[in-house]
Amino acid sequence: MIASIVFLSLLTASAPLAVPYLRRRFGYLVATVSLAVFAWFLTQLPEVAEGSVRSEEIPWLPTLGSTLKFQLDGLALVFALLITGIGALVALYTVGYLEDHPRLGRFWTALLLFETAMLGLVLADDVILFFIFWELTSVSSFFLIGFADERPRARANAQQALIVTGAGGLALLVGLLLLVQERGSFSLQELLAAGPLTAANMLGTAALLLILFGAATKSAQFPFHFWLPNAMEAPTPVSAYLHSATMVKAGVYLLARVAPVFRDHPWWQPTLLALGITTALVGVLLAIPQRDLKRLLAYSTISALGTLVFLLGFGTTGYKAFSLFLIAHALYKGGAFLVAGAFEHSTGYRTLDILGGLWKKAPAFAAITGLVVLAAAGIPPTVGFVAKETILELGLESIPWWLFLLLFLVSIGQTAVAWLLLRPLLARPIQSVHLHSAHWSLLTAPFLLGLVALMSGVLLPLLQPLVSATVATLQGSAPTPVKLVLWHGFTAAFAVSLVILVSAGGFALIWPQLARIGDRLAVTEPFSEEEPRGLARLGSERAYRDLMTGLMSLSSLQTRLLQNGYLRVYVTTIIATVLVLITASLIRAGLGWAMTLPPWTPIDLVDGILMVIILVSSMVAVRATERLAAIAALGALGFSLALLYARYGAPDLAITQVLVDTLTVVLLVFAFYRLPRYARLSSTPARIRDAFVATAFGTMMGLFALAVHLFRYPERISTFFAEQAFPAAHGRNVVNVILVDFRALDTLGEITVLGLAALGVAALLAVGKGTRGR
Amino acid sequence: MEVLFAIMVGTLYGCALYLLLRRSIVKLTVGLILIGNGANLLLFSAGGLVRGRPPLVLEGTSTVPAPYADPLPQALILTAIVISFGVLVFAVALIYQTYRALATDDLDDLTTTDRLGEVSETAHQPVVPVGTSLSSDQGS
Amino acid sequence: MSTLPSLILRTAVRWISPLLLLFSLFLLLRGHHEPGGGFSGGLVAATGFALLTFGFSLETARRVLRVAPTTLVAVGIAVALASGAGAFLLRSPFLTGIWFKLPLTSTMVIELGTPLLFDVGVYLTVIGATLTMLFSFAEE
Repeated sequence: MIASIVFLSLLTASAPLAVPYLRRRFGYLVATVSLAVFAWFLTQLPEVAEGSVRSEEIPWLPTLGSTLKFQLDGLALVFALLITGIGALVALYTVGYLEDHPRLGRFWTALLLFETAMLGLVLADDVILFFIFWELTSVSSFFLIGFADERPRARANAQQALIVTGAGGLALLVGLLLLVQERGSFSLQELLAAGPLTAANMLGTAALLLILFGAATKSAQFPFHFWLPNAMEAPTPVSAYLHSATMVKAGVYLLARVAPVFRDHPWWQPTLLALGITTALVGVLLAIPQRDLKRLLAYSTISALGTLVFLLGFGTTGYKAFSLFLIAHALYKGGAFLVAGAFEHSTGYRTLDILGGLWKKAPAFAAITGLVVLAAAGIPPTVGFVAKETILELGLESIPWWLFLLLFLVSIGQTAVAWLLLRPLLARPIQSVHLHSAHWSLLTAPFLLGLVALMSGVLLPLLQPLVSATVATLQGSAPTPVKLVLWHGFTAAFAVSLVILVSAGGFALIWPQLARIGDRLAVTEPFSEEEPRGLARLGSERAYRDLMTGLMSLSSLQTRLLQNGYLRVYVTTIIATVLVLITASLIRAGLGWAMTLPPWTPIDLVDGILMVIILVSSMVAVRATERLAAIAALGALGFSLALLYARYGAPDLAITQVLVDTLTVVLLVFAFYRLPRYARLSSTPARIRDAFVATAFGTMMGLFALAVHLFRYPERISTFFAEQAFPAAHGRNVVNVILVDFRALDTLGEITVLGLAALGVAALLAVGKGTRGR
Repeated sequence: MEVLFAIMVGTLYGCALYLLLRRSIVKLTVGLILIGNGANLLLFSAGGLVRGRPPLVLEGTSTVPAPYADPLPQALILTAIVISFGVLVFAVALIYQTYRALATDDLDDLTTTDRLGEVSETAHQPVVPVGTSLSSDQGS
Repeated sequence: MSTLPSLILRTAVRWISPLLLLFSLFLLLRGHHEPGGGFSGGLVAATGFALLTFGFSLETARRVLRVAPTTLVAVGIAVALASGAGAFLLRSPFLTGIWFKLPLTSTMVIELGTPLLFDVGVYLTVIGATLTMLFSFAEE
């Protein structure tokens, strides 16, 4: 299990190196690896179905109680199978879709990063680990949406997706940590084992709301749904994989994971039911009028995600339908996206009103589309049918009639979207479209997905252990075989199902009219900055944009306040802060400091002279009206300092100071003669004010220098250095030993900085060398 | 002696700050040098003042006879002197190039790029390589 | 420099520069036991080349140096890194000192260690960095 993640990470890391050589063939490698991992997870199915949980653990941050712990139970297994299985097919599809795209290396790195992170996310047992993988999926999604980074739209939408899911991620982290705080363990397994929380627990309620927020942004629940259709800027394999089959289900996965903790909380069920059904309805309502095939599928994905959340809200009775629909949707929606991508790849269009009559030109293509539509529309004997029947049965049995009506409408909408996929095949073409032959993988991948959807309906007993194991995880109980039947006979559910199929077909037939109504209402938000109109004015994306605009103006306001361009204002601000802090510390240190001053020793004559030189030369440097006078004063100051160092037991310092002082004077003489003469630029009041600030600062620093002597620590590092310099480091000059041995890493950093400064100087002075003659 | 050192440190810092607050870019440079020296002296005096006893291990023995000057601040100051020299040269090069490009030594004339929203759009346009031209007039 | 350096300066530089270079090596080598070391040694050597630049010309100084000063920076940092990386062979942390005893005669034993090599790296970097700056300014 850990091995599979390590294996995929290695493949991710190797992608930038290997892709330039293998080019599109790298896709076959990815497909093979994903398939191998898929096969390994498949072999785990019998054990997991019996209720055994496989876990692997590596200590990571033992002091913080965090470990690299992974766990494979039913819920994790069903996700792992979807991630690796669909991952393999999508990898295969990409070979034909992106061909030898110049940025293939970047694509594969991001996609493999996603596959690794997503697998880690569903397997992680440690909360921190889970969160890191969660964020990694957002980050890789950002890179994949913005893959065509030459398009402003791709960049803007990638940023939007990152901001929305990132905001949710932050909330989620806080929520998870609250839960950890409450339960005292980082292990998801232990968090869940402690039993449900109740409303009386404020901490638990806060955690619930934050986790819900995180899950809702990730799984594009209303009102955070808008980022998902915009994410369709990504290449189609990405849309099929991340934004339909796997990543957007991470939020649903999270809710399913924490369901055992929160299911008895009074807010859990109503919130989930309301959130789910609203999202499902909004999704289909916005989906039908879309002209762009991918946006159409994106909105229907939103609707399906809403349905999943709705089913979770039911609690125990809904778990079977949840598991079935999860599998069925990943299969048929992934397939539908791949088919849409294949349309686009071979005709150059993906708009519904242009495509038509393709069944004659490409019969194989038509057959595969038909297969996917069978599963998507829920026609027997596909798994889509089984899932829909289960949902309808549940609806008929256990919810109020008005809620069932809403569910019924959602179902019609989703089915209509499935029928709409047939329009490119059957509709009367508006203009003749050239169809060029597609790479075999473009057809094989959706065909295999459709085939699996069909076969798993026919061979339900094979699916049964997986569903049972998932339901068992959700319930937190030992697995009991779930009854799965393809054909229930002519029941009420089947009758409703028929009504849905027929009325959805009707909607698909009158789609051009529906699309025109949609245009009039402006359900599709335009990308540009122009004022939104129609329904878009009410949409939550509008609120998002307003928020972003507000943030931008707030930040420019703040920048204008703090960054006014006057260096001396910045300096004054910094110094004033330092003054306040040091004054406060001096006062806190106690007023008795004057009593414990070091004993007053008679002043040595030489020291006195040096001090006078230092004081006088610094004043001269300040008052000088000529540049040369200032430089001379600096020279005198430096040499006096060197002599002081020499007298107080620092010969090394003295040597260095003398040399640097010499070089500084030389350099300043060089440079200053190319700079303008000293000029009096400030007004007299400004000079008086500055003199006042400077005097205050000087006094403060002088007092500070005195106060430092109050703190004498008995144990000093220097003692160690002095004692060990000769025995351990074989040197008699302790200062040098510190530089080249004890603290050599610091010195290494310092000479690097020195080298960089030198390179910077050379580069700066080289600027404009060639154009001096202008 | 500590008091004398404190007076020197205070004077150096005060003079340095006064120069840092001037509008003349050349005086700013002098201020940088002074503040560097002031910081070094502060560190040195903070380590404790011991006259004439450098931290050297005598020939034939294996430890430094107490009392000795603290070697740690010395090592810190030694690298600080060299680094501040590098930084100073960098600053001088920067100032030199700024003066050559903008022909002013008044810091108040160098505020435009920092001020947001008060500058016309052209100020944010990228530097155009010699030989090409932008459609809009750049001025000079 | 546009003005012609005086004859006295030239003659003095001709004798002083080599002496300064020798002195810098002396400072470097004795640095581990007596005051001196890579930083001061490097600065002394740089001063020698600075004198050459003023007394003769930039070209002379460059010719005497033989390699580009930026190369010295790179070599210096590389030597310092290499001296620290040797510790990996003994599975010790980076920059752990390794010492050898080199008997010259029966009574005289010289101790050599990677910290000395590290100091050579510092020496080269300081020369390289200082001269890179100096030459850049001298070219103006």
